[in-house]
Amino acid sequence: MRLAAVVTFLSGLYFVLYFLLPESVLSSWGVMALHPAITQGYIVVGVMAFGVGIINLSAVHLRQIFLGKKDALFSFVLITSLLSTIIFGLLDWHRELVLARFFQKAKAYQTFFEAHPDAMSDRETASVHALATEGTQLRVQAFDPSVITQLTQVTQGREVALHLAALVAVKEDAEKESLQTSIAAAVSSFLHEGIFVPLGSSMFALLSFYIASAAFRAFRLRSFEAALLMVTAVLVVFGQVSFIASHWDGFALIRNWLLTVPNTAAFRGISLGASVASIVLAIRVWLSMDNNQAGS
Amino acid sequence: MKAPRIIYIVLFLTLLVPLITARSIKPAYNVAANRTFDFIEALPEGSNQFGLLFLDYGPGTQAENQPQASVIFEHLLRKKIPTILLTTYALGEKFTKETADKVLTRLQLEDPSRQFVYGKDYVILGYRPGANLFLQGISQAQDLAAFLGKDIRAIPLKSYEPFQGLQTLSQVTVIGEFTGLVGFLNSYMQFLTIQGTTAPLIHGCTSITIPETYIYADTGQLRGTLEGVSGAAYYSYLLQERFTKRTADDSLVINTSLGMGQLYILLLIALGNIIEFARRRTS
Amino acid sequence: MNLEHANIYTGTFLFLSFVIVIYYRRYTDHVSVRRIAAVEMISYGVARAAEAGKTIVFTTGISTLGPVFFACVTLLKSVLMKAKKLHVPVILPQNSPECVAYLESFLEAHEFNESACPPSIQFLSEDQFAFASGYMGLVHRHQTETAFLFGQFAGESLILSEAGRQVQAFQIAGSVSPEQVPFFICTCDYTLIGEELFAAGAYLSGDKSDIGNLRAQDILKLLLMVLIAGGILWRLCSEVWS
Repeated sequence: MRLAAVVTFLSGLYFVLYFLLPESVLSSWGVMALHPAITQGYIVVGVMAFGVGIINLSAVHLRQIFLGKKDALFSFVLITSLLSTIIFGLLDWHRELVLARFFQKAKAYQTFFEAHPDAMSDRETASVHALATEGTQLRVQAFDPSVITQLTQVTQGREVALHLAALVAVKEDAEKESLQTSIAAAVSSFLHEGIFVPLGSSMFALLSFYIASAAFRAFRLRSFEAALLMVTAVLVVFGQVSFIASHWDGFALIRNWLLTVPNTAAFRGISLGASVASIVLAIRVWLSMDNNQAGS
Repeated sequence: MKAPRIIYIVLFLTLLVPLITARSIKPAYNVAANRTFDFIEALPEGSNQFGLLFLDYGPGTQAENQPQASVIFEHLLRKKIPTILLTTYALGEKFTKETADKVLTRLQLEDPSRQFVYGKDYVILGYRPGANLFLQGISQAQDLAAFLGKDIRAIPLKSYEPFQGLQTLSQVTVIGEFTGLVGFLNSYMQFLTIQGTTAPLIHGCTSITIPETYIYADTGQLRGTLEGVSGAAYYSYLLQERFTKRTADDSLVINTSLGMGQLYILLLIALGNIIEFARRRTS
Repeated sequence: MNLEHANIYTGTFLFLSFVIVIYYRRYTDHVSVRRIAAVEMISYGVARAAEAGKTIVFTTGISTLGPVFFACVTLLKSVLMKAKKLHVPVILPQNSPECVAYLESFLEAHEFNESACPPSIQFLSEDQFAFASGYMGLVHRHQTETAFLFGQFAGESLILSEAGRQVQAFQIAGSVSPEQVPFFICTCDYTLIGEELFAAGAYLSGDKSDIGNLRAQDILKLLLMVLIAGGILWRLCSEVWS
């Protein structure tokens, strides 16, 4: 626990001092030069949590499945979803990489042959342009500079034909890759757009129904405060709904005033109080003074 | 049938009608969206400035945040300001490409002669891990294009000619943050600073987090806000007024449907109070 | 907005915070904490669950490991102590894996796992709506009698509280996000607003350290109010004189 307290303190101290001390002091200590690496280190540690989480999740649920425990079916669904998302996602990503390489080469050839229009015969020019255009229709602007260096050494005739054949070969590889992993792209797309997005959207959509039932239940004129809440809510809605606000611009201005003045004042007060409380509690945790911490 | 079920069914039908008929009406005047539009419209075209849009939303808030991101991205494309699309939220990665594709498809239909080129007009970087640390790094980077790394096609941002000149955050004239998640706006306010001043941040929020944005908009820390779908719809309306050939997007239809739903809720509030009064009289 | 000297102001404020927190660490004078109705009803909620023979659900929403979470843990400790005496099972649905790990060591350290009905930590999901979906299912399956919702919430707050409402659970909520407060007021029986969440733990436990913490918060807020008032006066005077 002491070691954890010391590490907590030193980690917090680094970022507090980094924020408070002037840049000149940090540069003289060499901290400015090291900071990107330190930041990357923290990011890496945070990303490692993904790996730890996946390992832990898999261990727990695989145990459920193999021991035939209750709800093993749900564990099976979870593990299947996890594996399919990872595998098809990676295959889809690989496919994009291969296609990107083709686009790069296509652009490189197009740029060279536009600069050297006399480098090939008309038929060869037409073929290369067709291939390059196919690549650039997907609007990839970048190209590999080393390819241009090679191509500037090309003269007419045989070398051009060889490069043309190389370009065709790259295209065929890309098409094969595209065909093989188009299934991966389709599954990955189905998992994301067919399942994940509708599920998330549906849960958020539930809010609309719950707001309706909460409004029906809660906005009653039972007391002065309830009446004030209701009137304010109604005025804000008036300022927002096109059917009502279109009759008088004043509704929108009233809404804006309510949000800018009373709302901002209340929000600032609550935020200030909560922020001060957070700072005080954070200091206590940082100095390991909090009695309610685990292990204290 | 229980009362809540009746309420839900009627609400569902109320929301459905405008979506099916695809009818839309002029959105209500929105002060914040108007201010945001004026801010971006006042930016000079091109000339060594950039846009940085963070699409930090997932499927849950996609309905509100995607129309916002779409209208801002479209406006920046029309202003010929090279724009970078990225996200610091893992689930938002696919939406960066989806949003770009939707906007570009519509712009292509509007004017086939105008080509928007990937790598020249816009770049998609995808997901960047690290959240606050990444934002700190953006503020402090002396070579921002190198710091931002590679795009979704594994091509370094620096290899795209328009972005080679992106050195520091001060060259970014508009930073858009579109999210419905708690704590993200606070992080952007805290960490995205340019030489001791706040960066030119505009925020697309969900309807739930609208009150929070006013404390920053009031102090000028936020240069503009889009308040939910209604903000996006009004911005879309302003774009249509400015660019007459522009076709309507779906934010106007969604906003109309939302308006119908809100009217229904007003009706429920009135009904609830009538029932309450009647109950008090009988008791 | 000019933040040129922000680090100096922040550093000064932090230093003062340090001094005040350490000074009030063990505040020995008798301090009466303002009565908060929502906090007093926590005991009623636990007793109600004991009488009905049903479960208590205590959620910290989408709080990650930080000051808000630790404030909720202070409340959790009081709830678990009462639940342990009355043998009431408590379910702790969680959103953050780090918080799960922390709670596991917290329960072990304070010997809550050795009670007749040890609390059950259930990690649902890191995604807020998947968490909301899991929470709804959990509340409906267990037909929860009492639900405590303390911490940080976003759009799923209404879903969580409405789920409890549907099973007619007694609900007390508290959020540091002011925009969620209206949702909780409409659907929950009692609501804590803003820093009342931080005060609640001190109020329940009566621990000197926690009360000292509360005192330190109040002194710092007073200091800020004086600074704000002073700043307004300074600005007014400089406008008048110029």
